[in-house]
Amino acid sequence: MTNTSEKEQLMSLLFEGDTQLVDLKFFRGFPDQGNRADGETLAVTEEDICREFRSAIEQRRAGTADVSKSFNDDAPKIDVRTLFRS
Amino acid sequence: MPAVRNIHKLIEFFSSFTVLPVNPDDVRDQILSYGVKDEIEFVGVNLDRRIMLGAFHQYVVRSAVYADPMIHVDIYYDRSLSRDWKRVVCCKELLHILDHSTSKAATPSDCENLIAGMATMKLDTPFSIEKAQAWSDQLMLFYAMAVLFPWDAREVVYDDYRQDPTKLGAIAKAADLPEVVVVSVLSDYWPKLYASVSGQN
Repeated sequence: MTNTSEKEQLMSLLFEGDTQLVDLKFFRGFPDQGNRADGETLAVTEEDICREFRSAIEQRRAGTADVSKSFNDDAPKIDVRTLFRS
Repeated sequence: MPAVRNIHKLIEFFSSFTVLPVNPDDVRDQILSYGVKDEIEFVGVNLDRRIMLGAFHQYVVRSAVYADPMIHVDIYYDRSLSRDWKRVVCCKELLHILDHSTSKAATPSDCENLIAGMATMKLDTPFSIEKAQAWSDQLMLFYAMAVLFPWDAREVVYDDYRQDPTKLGAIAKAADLPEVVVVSVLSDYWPKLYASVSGQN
Protein backbone atom coordinates (compact mmCIF):
# COMPACT_ATOMS: atom_id res chain seq x y z
CA MET A 1 0.00 0.00 0.00
CA THR A 2 1.46 3.35 -0.97
CA ASN A 3 1.45 6.60 0.99
CA THR A 4 -0.96 8.05 -1.51
CA SER A 5 -3.49 5.29 -1.10
CA GLU A 6 -3.43 5.56 2.69
CA LYS A 7 -4.00 9.29 2.41
CA GLU A 8 -6.71 8.84 -0.19
CA GLN A 9 -8.52 6.30 1.95
CA LEU A 10 -8.46 8.65 4.92
CA MET A 11 -9.62 11.59 2.82
CA SER A 12 -12.51 9.59 1.42
CA LEU A 13 -13.57 8.72 4.97
CA LEU A 14 -13.28 12.30 6.17
CA PHE A 15 -15.10 13.83 3.22
CA GLU A 16 -17.49 11.08 2.13
CA GLY A 17 -20.98 12.09 1.06
CA ASP A 18 -21.68 15.66 2.04
CA THR A 19 -19.71 15.44 5.27
CA GLN A 20 -18.32 18.82 6.16
CA LEU A 21 -15.13 18.72 8.15
CA VAL A 22 -14.63 21.58 10.57
CA ASP A 23 -11.34 20.72 12.22
CA LEU A 24 -8.89 17.91 12.75
CA LYS A 25 -5.98 17.65 15.17
CA PHE A 26 -3.69 14.88 16.35
CA PHE A 27 -1.95 14.42 19.68
CA ARG A 28 1.35 12.75 18.93
CA GLY A 29 3.03 12.97 22.29
CA PHE A 30 4.62 15.08 24.93
CA PRO A 31 7.80 17.13 24.45
CA ASP A 32 10.80 15.58 26.21
CA GLN A 33 9.14 12.21 25.87
CA GLY A 34 9.66 11.43 22.23
CA ASN A 35 6.57 10.26 20.40
CA ARG A 36 5.37 8.04 23.19
CA ALA A 37 4.26 8.45 26.76
CA ASP A 38 6.99 6.06 27.85
CA GLY A 39 9.73 7.96 26.06
CA GLU A 40 10.46 5.78 23.04
CA THR A 41 10.98 7.74 19.85
CA LEU A 42 9.98 6.72 16.35
CA ALA A 43 10.13 8.33 12.96
CA VAL A 44 6.53 8.72 11.88
CA THR A 45 5.40 9.06 8.28
CA GLU A 46 2.30 10.57 6.73
CA GLU A 47 1.27 7.03 5.86
CA ASP A 48 1.46 6.03 9.55
CA ILE A 49 -0.73 8.94 10.64
CA CYS A 50 -3.32 8.36 7.91
CA ARG A 51 -3.49 4.63 8.61
CA GLU A 52 -3.78 5.12 12.36
CA PHE A 53 -6.50 7.76 12.21
CA ARG A 54 -8.43 5.83 9.58
CA SER A 55 -8.31 2.82 11.88
CA ALA A 56 -9.68 4.95 14.73
CA ILE A 57 -12.62 6.16 12.63
CA GLU A 58 -13.31 2.61 11.43
CA GLN A 59 -13.29 1.27 15.00
CA ARG A 60 -15.85 3.92 15.92
CA ARG A 61 -18.06 3.06 12.94
CA ALA A 62 -17.75 -0.69 13.57
CA GLY A 63 -19.00 -0.20 17.12
CA THR A 64 -15.83 -1.55 18.71
CA ALA A 65 -14.80 1.79 20.23
CA ASP A 66 -15.62 2.91 23.77
CA VAL A 67 -17.92 5.86 23.05
CA SER A 68 -19.17 7.99 25.90
CA LYS A 69 -20.42 11.50 26.52
CA SER A 70 -18.47 11.44 29.78
CA PHE A 71 -14.80 11.02 30.64
CA ASN A 72 -16.05 8.80 33.49
CA ASP A 73 -13.47 10.13 35.90
CA ASP A 74 -13.18 7.81 38.88
CA ALA A 75 -10.01 9.31 40.36
CA PRO A 76 -10.23 10.18 44.05
CA LYS A 77 -10.39 13.91 44.81
CA ILE A 78 -8.03 15.58 47.24
CA ASP A 79 -7.50 19.18 48.31
CA VAL A 80 -3.76 19.66 47.82
CA ARG A 81 -3.72 22.05 50.79
CA THR A 82 -4.00 18.91 52.93
CA LEU A 83 -1.50 16.86 50.93
CA PHE A 84 1.60 17.41 53.07
CA ARG A 85 -0.13 18.54 56.25
CA SER A 86 -0.65 15.90 58.87
CA MET B 1 -10.06 37.03 19.20
CA PRO B 2 -13.04 35.61 21.14
CA ALA B 3 -11.70 32.05 21.01
CA VAL B 4 -8.44 32.95 22.69
CA ARG B 5 -10.32 35.07 25.20
CA ASN B 6 -12.44 32.04 26.04
CA ILE B 7 -9.32 29.92 26.56
CA HIS B 8 -7.97 32.60 28.89
CA LYS B 9 -11.33 32.63 30.69
CA LEU B 10 -11.17 28.87 31.02
CA ILE B 11 -7.69 28.97 32.55
CA GLU B 12 -8.79 31.77 34.88
CA PHE B 13 -11.87 29.76 35.91
CA PHE B 14 -9.79 26.77 36.99
CA SER B 15 -6.88 28.79 38.39
CA SER B 16 -8.27 28.86 41.94
CA PHE B 17 -8.92 25.12 42.11
CA THR B 18 -6.96 23.28 44.80
CA VAL B 19 -9.14 20.17 44.79
CA LEU B 20 -7.61 17.83 42.24
CA PRO B 21 -7.70 16.14 39.84
CA VAL B 22 -9.51 18.40 37.41
CA ASN B 23 -12.23 16.35 35.75
CA PRO B 24 -12.34 16.65 31.93
CA ASP B 25 -16.14 16.59 32.18
CA ASP B 26 -15.94 19.83 34.19
CA VAL B 27 -13.67 21.29 31.50
CA ARG B 28 -16.21 20.26 28.85
CA ASP B 29 -19.10 21.79 30.82
CA GLN B 30 -17.22 25.03 31.25
CA ILE B 31 -16.49 25.17 27.51
CA LEU B 32 -20.18 24.58 26.78
CA SER B 33 -21.07 27.43 29.15
CA TYR B 34 -19.36 29.82 26.71
CA GLY B 35 -22.14 29.17 24.21
CA VAL B 36 -20.52 26.28 22.36
CA LYS B 37 -23.27 24.04 20.94
CA ASP B 38 -21.09 21.17 19.78
CA GLU B 39 -22.10 17.62 20.62
CA ILE B 40 -19.04 16.06 22.25
CA GLU B 41 -18.13 12.41 22.67
CA PHE B 42 -15.04 10.68 24.05
CA VAL B 43 -13.98 7.77 21.86
CA GLY B 44 -11.58 5.15 23.21
CA VAL B 45 -9.90 3.16 20.43
CA ASN B 46 -6.84 1.03 19.89
CA LEU B 47 -4.03 3.27 18.64
CA ASP B 48 -0.35 2.69 18.03
CA ARG B 49 1.03 5.06 20.65
CA ARG B 50 4.27 5.39 18.73
CA ILE B 51 2.22 7.23 16.12
CA MET B 52 -0.45 9.09 18.07
CA LEU B 53 -2.06 9.19 21.50
CA GLY B 54 -5.29 10.86 20.46
CA ALA B 55 -7.10 13.04 17.96
CA PHE B 56 -9.72 15.77 17.67
CA HIS B 57 -12.29 15.31 14.91
CA GLN B 58 -14.90 18.03 14.46
CA TYR B 59 -17.49 17.77 11.71
CA VAL B 60 -20.98 18.82 10.70
CA VAL B 61 -23.78 16.25 10.89
CA ARG B 62 -27.41 16.36 9.81
CA SER B 63 -29.76 13.97 11.59
CA ALA B 64 -32.38 14.39 8.83
CA VAL B 65 -32.63 16.03 5.41
CA TYR B 66 -34.31 19.17 6.71
CA ALA B 67 -32.75 19.12 10.17
CA ASP B 68 -30.47 21.91 11.25
CA PRO B 69 -26.82 20.97 10.93
CA MET B 70 -25.07 20.18 14.16
CA ILE B 71 -21.38 20.22 14.92
CA HIS B 72 -20.12 16.97 16.40
CA VAL B 73 -16.78 16.51 18.11
CA ASP B 74 -15.10 13.16 18.63
CA ILE B 75 -12.26 13.18 21.16
CA TYR B 76 -10.23 10.09 20.31
CA TYR B 77 -7.79 8.59 22.80
CA ASP B 78 -5.84 5.37 22.97
CA ARG B 79 -7.83 3.25 25.40
CA SER B 80 -4.74 1.46 26.71
CA LEU B 81 -3.39 4.72 28.11
CA SER B 82 -3.30 5.10 31.87
CA ARG B 83 -5.97 7.40 33.28
CA ASP B 84 -3.50 10.24 33.91
CA TRP B 85 -2.37 10.29 30.27
CA LYS B 86 -5.98 9.94 29.11
CA ARG B 87 -6.75 13.05 31.17
CA VAL B 88 -4.01 15.02 29.38
CA VAL B 89 -5.00 13.81 25.92
CA CYS B 90 -8.73 14.41 26.36
CA CYS B 91 -8.32 17.84 27.98
CA LYS B 92 -5.90 19.02 25.31
CA GLU B 93 -8.24 17.86 22.56
CA LEU B 94 -11.28 19.42 24.28
CA LEU B 95 -9.58 22.80 24.26
CA HIS B 96 -9.39 22.69 20.46
CA ILE B 97 -13.14 23.38 20.51
CA LEU B 98 -12.24 26.90 21.59
CA ASP B 99 -9.51 27.24 18.99
CA HIS B 100 -11.03 29.04 16.05
CA SER B 101 -7.92 30.94 15.14
CA THR B 102 -5.26 28.75 13.55
CA SER B 103 -4.49 25.47 11.83
CA LYS B 104 -8.00 24.69 10.68
CA ALA B 105 -8.21 21.56 8.56
CA ALA B 106 -11.49 22.05 6.78
CA THR B 107 -10.56 21.00 3.24
CA PRO B 108 -8.75 17.95 1.84
CA SER B 109 -5.79 20.17 1.03
CA ASP B 110 -5.71 21.55 4.58
CA CYS B 111 -5.86 18.00 5.96
CA GLU B 112 -2.98 16.86 3.80
CA ASN B 113 -0.88 19.80 4.93
CA LEU B 114 -1.70 19.09 8.57
CA ILE B 115 -0.71 15.43 8.24
CA ALA B 116 2.52 16.32 6.46
CA GLY B 117 3.33 18.80 9.22
CA MET B 118 2.61 16.29 11.97
CA ALA B 119 4.76 13.65 10.34
CA THR B 120 7.78 15.92 10.27
CA MET B 121 7.28 17.41 13.75
CA LYS B 122 9.99 16.55 16.24
CA LEU B 123 9.00 15.94 19.84
CA ASP B 124 12.40 15.29 21.33
CA THR B 125 13.30 18.82 22.34
CA PRO B 126 12.31 20.52 25.59
CA PHE B 127 9.62 23.10 26.17
CA SER B 128 10.35 26.68 25.30
CA ILE B 129 8.39 29.88 24.92
CA GLU B 130 9.54 30.03 21.30
CA LYS B 131 8.03 26.61 20.73
CA ALA B 132 4.76 27.69 22.28
CA GLN B 133 4.58 30.55 19.83
CA ALA B 134 5.56 28.39 16.88
CA TRP B 135 3.24 25.45 17.24
CA SER B 136 -0.42 26.10 17.83
CA ASP B 137 -0.94 22.44 18.58
CA GLN B 138 1.79 22.46 21.21
CA LEU B 139 0.33 25.68 22.54
CA MET B 140 -2.92 23.84 23.17
CA LEU B 141 -0.97 21.38 25.29
CA PHE B 142 0.32 24.26 27.42
CA TYR B 143 -3.25 25.51 27.80
CA ALA B 144 -4.36 22.05 28.89
CA MET B 145 -1.55 21.84 31.44
CA ALA B 146 -2.58 25.22 32.85
CA VAL B 147 -6.15 23.94 33.24
CA LEU B 148 -5.24 20.52 34.66
CA PHE B 149 -2.73 21.85 37.18
CA PRO B 150 -4.28 25.13 38.31
CA TRP B 151 -2.10 28.01 39.42
CA ASP B 152 -3.30 28.02 43.05
CA ALA B 153 -2.64 24.28 43.36
CA ARG B 154 0.90 24.89 42.10
CA GLU B 155 1.37 27.66 44.68
CA VAL B 156 0.29 25.29 47.45
CA VAL B 157 2.69 22.45 46.63
CA TYR B 158 5.61 24.38 45.12
CA ASP B 159 7.67 24.93 48.31
CA ASP B 160 7.15 21.35 49.50
CA TYR B 161 8.36 20.08 46.12
CA ARG B 162 11.40 22.38 45.98
CA GLN B 163 12.42 21.32 49.48
CA ASP B 164 11.88 17.66 48.76
CA PRO B 165 11.66 16.67 45.07
CA THR B 166 10.80 13.10 46.08
CA LYS B 167 7.30 14.46 46.75
CA LEU B 168 6.77 14.65 43.00
CA GLY B 169 5.08 11.25 42.97
CA ALA B 170 2.56 12.25 45.62
CA ILE B 171 1.77 15.50 43.81
CA ALA B 172 1.35 13.74 40.47
CA LYS B 173 -0.89 11.14 42.10
CA ALA B 174 -3.07 13.84 43.68
CA ALA B 175 -3.40 15.63 40.35
CA ASP B 176 -3.73 12.31 38.51
CA LEU B 177 -1.26 13.58 35.94
CA PRO B 178 1.92 12.03 34.51
CA GLU B 179 5.02 13.04 36.44
CA VAL B 180 6.57 14.55 33.31
CA VAL B 181 3.65 16.99 33.11
CA VAL B 182 3.86 17.89 36.79
CA VAL B 183 7.64 18.43 36.58
CA SER B 184 7.02 20.95 33.79
CA VAL B 185 4.38 22.80 35.78
CA LEU B 186 6.62 22.92 38.86
CA SER B 187 9.65 24.09 36.87
CA ASP B 188 11.10 27.58 37.12
CA TYR B 189 10.06 28.45 33.57
CA TRP B 190 6.38 27.61 34.11
CA PRO B 191 5.39 31.05 35.57
CA LYS B 192 6.53 32.73 32.34
CA LEU B 193 4.73 30.19 30.19
CA TYR B 194 1.64 30.41 32.38
CA ALA B 195 1.59 34.18 32.05
CA SER B 196 1.74 33.75 28.30
CA VAL B 197 -0.95 31.10 27.94
CA SER B 198 -3.29 32.73 30.44
CA GLY B 199 -3.15 36.09 28.65
CA GLN B 200 -1.43 37.90 31.52
CA ASN B 201 1.22 39.36 29.22
